[in-house]
Amino acid sequence: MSKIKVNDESQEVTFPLTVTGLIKLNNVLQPDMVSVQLNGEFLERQDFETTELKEGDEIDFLYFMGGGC
Amino acid sequence: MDFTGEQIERYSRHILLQDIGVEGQEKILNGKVLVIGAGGLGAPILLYLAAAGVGTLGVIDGDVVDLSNLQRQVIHFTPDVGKPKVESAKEKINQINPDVKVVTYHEFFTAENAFDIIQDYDFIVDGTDNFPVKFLINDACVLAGKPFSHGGILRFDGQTLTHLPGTACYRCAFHSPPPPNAVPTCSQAGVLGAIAGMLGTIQAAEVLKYLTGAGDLLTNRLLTFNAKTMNFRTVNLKPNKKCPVCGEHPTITELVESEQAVCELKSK
Amino acid sequence: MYKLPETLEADIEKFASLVKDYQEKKIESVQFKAFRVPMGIYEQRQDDVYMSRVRTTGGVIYPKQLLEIIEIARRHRSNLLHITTRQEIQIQNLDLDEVELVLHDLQKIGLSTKGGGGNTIRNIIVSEFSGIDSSEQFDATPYAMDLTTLLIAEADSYLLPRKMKIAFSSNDKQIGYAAVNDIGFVAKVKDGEKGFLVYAGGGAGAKPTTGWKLFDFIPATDLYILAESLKKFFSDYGNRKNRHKARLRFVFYKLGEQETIRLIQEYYYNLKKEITEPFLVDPDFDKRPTIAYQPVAQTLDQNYPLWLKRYVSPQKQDKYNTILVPFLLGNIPVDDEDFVQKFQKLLHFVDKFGDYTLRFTTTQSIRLRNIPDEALPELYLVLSDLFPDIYLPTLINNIVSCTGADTCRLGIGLSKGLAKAIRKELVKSNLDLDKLQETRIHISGCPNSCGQQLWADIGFSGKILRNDRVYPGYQVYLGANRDQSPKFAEAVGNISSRDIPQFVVKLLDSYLQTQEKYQSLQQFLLTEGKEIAQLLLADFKAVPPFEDDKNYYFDWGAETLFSIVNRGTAECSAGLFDMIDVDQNIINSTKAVLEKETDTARRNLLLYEILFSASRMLLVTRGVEPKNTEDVFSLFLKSFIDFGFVDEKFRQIVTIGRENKDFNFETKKDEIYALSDAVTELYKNMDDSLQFKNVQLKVKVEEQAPTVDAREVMKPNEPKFKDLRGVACPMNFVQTKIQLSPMQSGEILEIWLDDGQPINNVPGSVRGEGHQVVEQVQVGDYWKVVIKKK
Repeated sequence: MSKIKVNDESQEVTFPLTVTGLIKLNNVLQPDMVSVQLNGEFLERQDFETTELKEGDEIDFLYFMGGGC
Repeated sequence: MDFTGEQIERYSRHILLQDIGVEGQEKILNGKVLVIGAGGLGAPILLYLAAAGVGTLGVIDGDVVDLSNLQRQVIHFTPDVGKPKVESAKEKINQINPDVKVVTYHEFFTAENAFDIIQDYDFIVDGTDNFPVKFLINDACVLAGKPFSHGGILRFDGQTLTHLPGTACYRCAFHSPPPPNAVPTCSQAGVLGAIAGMLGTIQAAEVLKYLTGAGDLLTNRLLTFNAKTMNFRTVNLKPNKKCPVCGEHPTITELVESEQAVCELKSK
Repeated sequence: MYKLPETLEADIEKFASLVKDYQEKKIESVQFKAFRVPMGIYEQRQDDVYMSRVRTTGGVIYPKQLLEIIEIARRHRSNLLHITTRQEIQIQNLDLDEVELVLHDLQKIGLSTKGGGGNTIRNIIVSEFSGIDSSEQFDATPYAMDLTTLLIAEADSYLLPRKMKIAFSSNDKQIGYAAVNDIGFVAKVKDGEKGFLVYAGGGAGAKPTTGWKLFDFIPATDLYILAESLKKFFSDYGNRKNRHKARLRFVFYKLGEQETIRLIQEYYYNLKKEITEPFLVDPDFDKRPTIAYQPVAQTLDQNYPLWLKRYVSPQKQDKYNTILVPFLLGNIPVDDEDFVQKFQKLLHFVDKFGDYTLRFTTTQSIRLRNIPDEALPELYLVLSDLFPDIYLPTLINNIVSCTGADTCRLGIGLSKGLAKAIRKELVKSNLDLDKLQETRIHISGCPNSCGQQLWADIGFSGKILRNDRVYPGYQVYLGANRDQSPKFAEAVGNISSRDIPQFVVKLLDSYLQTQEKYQSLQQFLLTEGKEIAQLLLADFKAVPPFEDDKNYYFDWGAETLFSIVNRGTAECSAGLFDMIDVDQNIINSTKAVLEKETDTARRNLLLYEILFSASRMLLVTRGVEPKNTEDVFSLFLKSFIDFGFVDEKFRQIVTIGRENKDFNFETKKDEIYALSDAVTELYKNMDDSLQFKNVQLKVKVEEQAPTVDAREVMKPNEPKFKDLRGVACPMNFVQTKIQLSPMQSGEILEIWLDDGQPINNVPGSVRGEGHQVVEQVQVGDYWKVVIKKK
């Protein structure tokens, strides 16, 4: 098991793992609607599938929030 | 600027603050702030900015008060149902603080009127309820070099980001609006009323910090919170080189409204 | 030993009462500091932790005193003694409450900290071989000692425009520090009479220079008169407005060499008329007592001969020896029980041979003297118990380094880590280090000269270097002359931290290969050695990109990537103008590079660099300290644009610099250039008191333009007044702030407050905002409070 950080919280995962895999692993409600930062840099959506995670990576999931009414 | 005795009394708790003081309060009194949307977020934002004595408050909203609004839009009262929201808001602001000059726009914020309206203001606050307008506000402010506060709430969650020219914008993080109905808005999914107050007051605090120069703004940081866990967290953001509006090779150079229909504006 | 000033008891009492006032917040920290620092008590890098610097003229200390100092330190919960490059000893990491007790304890053993800091006569240096060197003229130590006694007793020695450093040399072929102190005395005998050759105005800080020769010879009996007249001259002519241009050398720069020397001589001859008493010293100073030492049979290991060769030198007194005991970075860890016991054993041992057996050296070590031949074997055993590596070549044990970026706020490089890395590389190399006995390698973590890099054979000062990223580097200096014609080392180029150990070994290797051609390392370093060094530097110039070798981007001993964030500005003695010049040079050189650069990304980085340096360059003149990169821009906006020193039109570009360093700066190139020009222009118009001339202040104009009260115009110095009786808390404080707001800094406001809550709260709140409460008196049933605006 290896450790990465998802939204500031440590998570144990098994490599190889792509960003898409991590999204699935975390049961993100609407996988197409999440914005992803990897180690402080935004990832392009088309790269989710091919980006392999490694030990110590820090991932932030950012979700759309459209309300205000 | 000379304070009247009444003003000294009214703003004494600001003047006492070392980071605000007389000078800071003067800046607030000279400030011009536009609040887009007089709903869940707009209500607390307007109330606190009015109380603080922001010199000019612009309010833009094309809607009228609906009974379902009153669960969270604390600037509107039961007798206001049916009244244009901007009118209802203006009445309350005048009652709270006659120092404040209120400019109302009973219309929606669109690609056509955006630049004309924002040019008169020092700071813009997003209190809207749908993605196309949120992105429109972002683009207009980035292109015009205006600072603004983004805010969004849904169910039990809220998020906000402050943008100054050169810092990460909303599009840096959320490239473009989701397809219609892909992500629910609060009119579809619901929202805990108090969340609007929580996020709106954070946005109001950002405005006051910006006007007075006190503290560190939420620039290059997205604040998110969840009221169920009451966990607050800030995610550091960097300006995104590939951002379509503020990146190195911008593709958005003028305002276009998203093609999708504004999501159920009338659905209450 | 010097005699304690008579006022010392009263000084310590006063210190104690100020400590109390400070702790009870009756006085501001600046007021406390104003007395504390000249008393030789410094606040360390960490808040509320103090250091007391004990005066030891010429590094002379009795073994018994040093034993006592260890006890004092331990008793008052210090864990560290530190030997300084001015031959003093510091007791570090003290709580404020302990300091007064430490001062009393020191007094009991005949030592004092007074004059250890601030604008005073600092500890007087004497060459470490004075009195035992066979080629010297005579021992200068007793002169330094008695001069100390006289100078530290005088009140005006503590009220100078800036610090005054004095150094003695006993040998005119080894002038050493006498050439680079404010006053240097070099022993000289003329027609059978003892006397001194006198230098003045030397110094290694901002705008360094060796001293000007003031007198070829003055009789030793005139020593005090000369020192006193220089002190009075400095007091009258030194720049009291700008501490960064205050040292004696700046008087030379300002008045010119001839006029300065003429004036000093005038002071000297005038004082000579007043003081007719000759300055005489104890002729029996440092006389070796007769000791009945019984050598014990010892079993010595194979390193004993190496130690004898490397660390022991015969004195001019037959059958006596002097021995260097190197302390890494001058540190004596008194919380290390084992170390302390062994060190105490050493001190007890040398104590057998008299009081004058120890001296602190300017390389932060201890030099023993007056050790008879027959005691050497036993001494070796005691010493090697304390330091198992004591026999290693001296060069290994004698690399000088300042504390560097891990504890100093000014630091760029981790100089201690570099010293360690060089040491390791030297040990690993197969150079014959014994042929480099006298070689001095000195390291400073920043362009200031705490590590005395200008005074080294091979010196380094920390520097930020860049390719696509910043990486730690050093400026290289070569070939100081510490002998007959003193000269600072010359700057020859830059090098990454990473490559320095290799550079040092290669350079020394090429010297050893041609050693017979040269009289000294210095001669080599200024001729062939310089060329070789430059070739080496060229070889080392390209550092591998970050992706290929990350080591270059970490400093020696660092756990995190090298970064310029968190560099602060000076609290004391950092050359303010050096700091400004650093940025000015960056701006100029970066512009030059930019003209040739075609790569878009790199051009952008260069433009950002110019913007950053232009914003940072003059911050130090406003007394503000950026804590990080962002701060540089924010403080510039606040201190320069808000005030109108720099045009409002630059606000946008500076804000962009703060918020987005990846911005496409190419689009704003003209603006960035214009900003850097504006800042340069402002600097040109700055006077000695750091004020900018010809600048219309926005703030002032705005404040004065509207309705000016006629009374204020007529009587500008009349204090403003507000009666706040009958006004409850907190509205009385609100009103006070309203009154203070439009006032100028330094103006006076008088308020009247009710007794009770108002008087208990308002003055404290006023102070809390940084204003000064000058007076607070009860008048009948109310209080009059006089406030000076910050």
